[in-house]
Amino acid sequence: MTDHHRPTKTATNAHAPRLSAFWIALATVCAAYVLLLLAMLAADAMFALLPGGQADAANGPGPLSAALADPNIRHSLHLTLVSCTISSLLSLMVATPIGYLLSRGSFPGKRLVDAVMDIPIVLPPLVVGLSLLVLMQWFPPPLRDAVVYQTPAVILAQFVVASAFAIRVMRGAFDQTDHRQEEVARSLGASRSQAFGWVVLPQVRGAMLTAGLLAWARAMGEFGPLLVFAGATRGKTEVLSTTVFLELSVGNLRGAVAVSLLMIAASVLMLTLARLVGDRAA
Amino acid sequence: MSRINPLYRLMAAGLMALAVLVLLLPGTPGVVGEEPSLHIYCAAALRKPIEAIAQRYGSEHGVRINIQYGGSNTLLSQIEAARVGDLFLAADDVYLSTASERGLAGNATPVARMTAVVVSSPERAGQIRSIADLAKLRLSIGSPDQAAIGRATRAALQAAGNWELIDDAVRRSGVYKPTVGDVANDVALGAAEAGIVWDAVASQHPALSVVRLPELSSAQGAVGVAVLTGSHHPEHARDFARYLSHNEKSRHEFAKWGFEPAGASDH
Repeated sequence: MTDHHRPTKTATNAHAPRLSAFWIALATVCAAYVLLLLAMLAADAMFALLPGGQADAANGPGPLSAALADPNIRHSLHLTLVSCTISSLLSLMVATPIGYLLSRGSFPGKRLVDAVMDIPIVLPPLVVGLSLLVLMQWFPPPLRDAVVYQTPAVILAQFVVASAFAIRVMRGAFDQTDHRQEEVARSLGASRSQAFGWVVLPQVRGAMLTAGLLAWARAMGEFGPLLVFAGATRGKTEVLSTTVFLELSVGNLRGAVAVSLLMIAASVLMLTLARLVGDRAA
Repeated sequence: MSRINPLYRLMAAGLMALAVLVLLLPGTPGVVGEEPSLHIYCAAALRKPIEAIAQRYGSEHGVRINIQYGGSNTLLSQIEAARVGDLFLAADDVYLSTASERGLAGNATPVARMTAVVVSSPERAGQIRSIADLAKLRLSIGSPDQAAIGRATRAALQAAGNWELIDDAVRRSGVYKPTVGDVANDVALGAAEAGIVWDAVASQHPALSVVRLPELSSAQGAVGVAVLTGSHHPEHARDFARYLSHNEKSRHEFAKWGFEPAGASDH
């Protein structure tokens, strides 16, 4: 205690300027990074929305409204919104039991299962798509034809990656909940599922929303697996990320950047919501 | 207060939400067989003419056409892995030959032709009169191992004896890109001072200037189409392939987007 006391005393006088230099250094690094991110967004906005520049003139002055007027892109927006919501809901339905199992359960091979959960996060995105495509070869042809290059492939590809992120969040949330309350409920005669529903679930409600929103944002950013497994078929399996690819492939840079802005706006909205919900839950 | 376990309520709400969302999905595919449909793997660079031609063919023949875009090389891998689909429309007949050798597709029908050209900003175009001039610039070139344009460029420049010059320039300050679209975008964004692309691709970038160099005139890409062996509708697929290559309106559509329709100088 005495050792601890001496430096604190000097700190009040001598450390004040050093401390502020420290914070200034941190703030500078943070500001530079934030500036880089904002500069990227500003460059996108200027490139897409300002007239002139090097992009093709065919798009006219309003590439964003031109993009939204295209029925294919509207279809893509519609499919993106609905498919991402479905895949994030499915992710939650899988992430909640798995997160709980990994947090509370004790079984042989748990470390291996835990590592397997991270496969979609560490695999290169194209490999996820290719693996799904190859996997479907083992299914009966009618089922394979109903999935590969069809809307279910979009949802499956999004789900595989998004759920890995949701599982991480849910597992962390269950780790932080108080085991004792659950044990008290059990000792009072509650079954496992009753204890889970009445005691654990209310504690992880915020985390579930955060996990769902993160899964949603992740599903929207999905591209590689979608391109390989669901294809980039206009008016069918095209989502916003594949719209960017399709517009780029024919040199419509402004259209591609305009659609990118839509995606950025949706992601920022979702991530901010996730943060707010997370803060409130905390 | 309800005595139902919140877990079950949440599960029921989730399942109901899923059911509603599935109904909200756009264009849920109809029952197979109610109208014939063709699934076409199409090189992304061909999107503009193919979209227009497929729409016209669909309305004239009552056939639903789904077009999947990608790089010709990626599409070939997808065809092999998925074993579904009716037609393969590639920007380079090498991929069609490979598909045929692997038993994935039948013989190819030539559809159109493209020639390699140099693209740059209008200000820089005046400085490019030879391959040597080109080698002084920061270049974006299609990868000779991945992109059809890269392979054609390398073959033409090797024949002309100046591939080393371009290869050195790229390794010094330029970049090899996997698709011709990436090359054109590099030049349009100013990331590269010049690039070599197909003339049909260049025509999709009106803001760029095109320079035709004699050394590149032999660098040609043959757009072709082949019916896949796993096609569920081979008759319709063959009919659409004929429509692409022989129909006057289709040929006009290709010409409109800077392609040289096949047959114009083949015979």
